Amino acid sequence: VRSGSPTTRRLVSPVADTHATWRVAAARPPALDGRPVALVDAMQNPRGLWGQGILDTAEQTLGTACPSLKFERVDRPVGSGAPAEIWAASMADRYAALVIAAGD
Amino acid sequence: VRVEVEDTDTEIQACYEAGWTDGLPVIPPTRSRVDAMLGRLVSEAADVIAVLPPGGGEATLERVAANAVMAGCLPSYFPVVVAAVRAVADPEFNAEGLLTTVHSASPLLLVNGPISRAIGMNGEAGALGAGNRANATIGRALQLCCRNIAGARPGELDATTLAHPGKYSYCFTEHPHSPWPELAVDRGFRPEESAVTVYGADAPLCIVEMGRPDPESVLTTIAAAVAIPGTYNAYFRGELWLVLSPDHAEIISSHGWSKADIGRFMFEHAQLRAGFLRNRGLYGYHRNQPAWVDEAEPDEMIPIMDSPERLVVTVSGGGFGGYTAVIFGLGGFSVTKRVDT
Repeated sequence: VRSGSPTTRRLVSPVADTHATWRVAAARPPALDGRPVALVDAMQNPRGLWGQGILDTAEQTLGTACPSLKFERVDRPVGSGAPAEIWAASMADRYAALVIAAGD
Repeated sequence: VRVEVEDTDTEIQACYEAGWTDGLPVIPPTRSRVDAMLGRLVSEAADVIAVLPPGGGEATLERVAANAVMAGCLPSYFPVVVAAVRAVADPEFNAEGLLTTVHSASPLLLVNGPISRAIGMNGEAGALGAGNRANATIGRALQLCCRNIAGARPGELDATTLAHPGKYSYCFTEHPHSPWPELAVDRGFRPEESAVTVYGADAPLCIVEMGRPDPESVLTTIAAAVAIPGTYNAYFRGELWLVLSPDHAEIISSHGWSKADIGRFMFEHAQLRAGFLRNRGLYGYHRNQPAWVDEAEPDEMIPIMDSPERLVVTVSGGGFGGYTAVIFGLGGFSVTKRVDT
């Protein structure tokens, strides 16, 4: 959205800042340090339970490759609450990695 | 006068270029117009009344007012727009899903209570269509808020494949002489209170039944019309809305039927064969599809709602014609909020 023209500057903007659609991926840790891996269902429509199915597959695949891994299912943030970056930072303190099922 | 017209043309064009519009011209949101829309709330213009998914944009009163101005609202409509924005932001409504889905659904707004009459909304001839300023501009204001505050622009956060014309405006009220209480009263509001209900809705499908004037005949035709594969209702079995014309409502109510009776009839008659649902519609879209699709016998009949209460019955439209608009949904739930006047 371009709101900076001389004319629009005379008008009251109807536009709100929104979260960035694309984000830079966090740095990968060199190794998982014993903390659990979080499996997050962030599908747009959680009632369909499709996200849980994706996470089932992720858990099975990762668990086969690394039998020592521990997994936890984590609810996605309710509504639009905290910005994603803040939420991700708080998760990084508790989990070695996040696997997020996202989509529609 | 000529200079003012030229200025307005420039401002309208600037709104286009800024990406603020829905494709139709807007009223430029000048400071004076926005302040007039805010009225006694002008001192609270910066207050955040909601945070709108999917973009997480903060809906300040000023931004909502700017969108209401652009849509063409009168200041007397503003409390309805504010309530609608609050309703869309309710997590139960799942705006994050509705405003980002590849499906066509869009917020449908129903206004009930005294304010709908005070601002001259149309619940009679052509209620779901064009011609009434309040219906048209309140619905448009909500859609503009979804675009400009929630960030739901097609091709960006809004991934809709086709959309439908309701994304311009989708707003109505009920007929003033409905035989049943308004929806908001069904949901616990008093008749003297005003309220809005938002529903993630497909385009209306108009069903005609003028052959036999009895409830069973009317509702059998409607039930057959909604029991089709390829809708989200067939698989998610969520809310389904009916907008009965006054004729249909009169036929049904004059036989002593309540809205709950209609819900029970539709639950029992709007059904699809389980075997027919397999390998169609949303089947196989993901392996974690509803278990009943595979567990049911092929000839087992599956209601398209998971309970009779999923049917939402409203009454609107002109005084002649045996029509009912069927409005399929995205699978979620509608949300009702009070209008603070």
